Amino acid sequence: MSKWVSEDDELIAVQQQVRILLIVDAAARAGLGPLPVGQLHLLAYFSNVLSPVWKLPPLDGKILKRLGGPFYPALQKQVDLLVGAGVLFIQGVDHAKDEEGKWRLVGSFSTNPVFADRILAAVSSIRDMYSVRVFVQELAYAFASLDPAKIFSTADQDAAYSDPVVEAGNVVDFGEWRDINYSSRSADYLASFMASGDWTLPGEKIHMYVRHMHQRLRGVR
Amino acid sequence: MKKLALGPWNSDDFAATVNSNTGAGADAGLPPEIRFLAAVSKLVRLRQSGPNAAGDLALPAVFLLHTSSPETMPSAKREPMLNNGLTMLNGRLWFVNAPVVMGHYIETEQTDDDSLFNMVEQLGFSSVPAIIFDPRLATPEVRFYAAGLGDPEECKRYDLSGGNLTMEKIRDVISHIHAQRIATPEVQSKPGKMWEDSDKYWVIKDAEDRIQMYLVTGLTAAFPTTTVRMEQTQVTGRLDIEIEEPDPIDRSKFTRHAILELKVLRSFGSTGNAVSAAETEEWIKSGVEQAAAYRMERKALASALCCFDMRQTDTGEACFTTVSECAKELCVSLWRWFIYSKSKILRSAITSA
Repeated sequence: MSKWVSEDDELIAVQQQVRILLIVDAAARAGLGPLPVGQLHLLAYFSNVLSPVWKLPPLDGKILKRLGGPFYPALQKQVDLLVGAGVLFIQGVDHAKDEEGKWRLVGSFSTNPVFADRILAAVSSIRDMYSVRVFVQELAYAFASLDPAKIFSTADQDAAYSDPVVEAGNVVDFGEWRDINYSSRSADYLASFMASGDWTLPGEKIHMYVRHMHQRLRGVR
Repeated sequence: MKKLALGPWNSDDFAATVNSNTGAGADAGLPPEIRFLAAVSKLVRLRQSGPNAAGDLALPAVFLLHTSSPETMPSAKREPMLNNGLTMLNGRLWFVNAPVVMGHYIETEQTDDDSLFNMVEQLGFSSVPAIIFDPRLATPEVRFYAAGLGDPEECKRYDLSGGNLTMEKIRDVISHIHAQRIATPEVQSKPGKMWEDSDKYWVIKDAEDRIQMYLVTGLTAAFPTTTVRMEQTQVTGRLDIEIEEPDPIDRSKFTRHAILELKVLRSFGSTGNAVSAAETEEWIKSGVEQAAAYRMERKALASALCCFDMRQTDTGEACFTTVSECAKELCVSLWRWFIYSKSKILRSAITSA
């Protein structure tokens, strides 16, 4: 697994913007668009925590555990920039108080095809990035099979995020300093129950992982 | 697989999840239209084989590859787990995503085919890829309109009976893919180019990967009720394709129709390093052994070694001379296709033949 993520701030910002575009575009193709801000951050989180299933490095191997679910302030800054640049459209703009009592702008996002399509085409022409795009798309397809009202609750069931050892306000580390990623491990382990066994493909693992979170949401473990 | 610590999921019942959910995602990365065709075919087959099919309406089901229901149709109902086969499909116009794991529908209530086509046109979806399943036919089939219902002449029919996949059919499909997509540089897509330098017969580094992608896409399109799996087990270029057909009733069972072992035969590598005849011979021999070993391990019905010959000279089936007996004993079919470095060489070959 090659780690291409540089510490360079500008590069990280570009990588975050590309990831945002991939997620918003994938969500629309899957039937989840326009994508509410909470679901955007949720998919960003799962695109990190499940990336080893696709043999990809996470863009960010850690996240601050919050009562309100995954949220990346730095990523949100890039979302705002993309809206300002006209690459993303926002609709249903409102403000809401989160679980920690902080006010936040909310809305739902879609891509502006005039700009986004060319960026996505250029990104897809890079082989490693094409692989990321396929992965993010499959993630969005898997989440589209969930009840929209329950999608945001999936983080509460995710193997890494819901680890009771890590309390809210602490960092969930699944790939920064720690090698243990309960989520990708569980996705790989699920494959051992599937008839395809060793031939189980990453896309199948992603779908089955999301189905298992669905089972847990229903109280079946 | 050894179980590692899974944190809060340590004591979860994974088998229950696997047994109660239909697999999806094996075809990730394939073109959306191909996934759409394969997913709808499997879904219709699943529904038709289930206990509730007898009570379904005798009206066609129409599927459109369009992810959101139009705002003009607020009555559209969402089915988030459409691929579980528990929802009636017939008599409905479906708006689905490529893997058909989610969809919206409206009732069509159209009793004649022309009204159905008109309805889709009036809604503005006549150029969207579409599939029609007609339950009134004796043999189950789907009709795939890649260019939409606005172009009804462009229709391909797919038999959903299943179970009739033969090695001859698989070979015919690969021959078709070869002719349409691989045989010469001109028919190869830009990301699927096979030559690093065709003038020097230098084969591109990841030629096996590219062949595999062509075959998986083409085989999935040709046999939409099957799942075409690919595995790359080594960096040395050994690739396998497995064609399996899920049992429409018991999703834990399936028939593994074939294992295909792919080999690219080269005169030169991507940087011009020459490949000797002895190396090629050894390469083919190992392919036969691997195809047989995988067939037995995977309990597949048949296996074949598929050689894509990119050498300087087309020597026909001569490359199999030293392994033909061994292949016969191991029940491995030997198939070969030549990849021309230029179209004019292919034209000369056709003329002289």
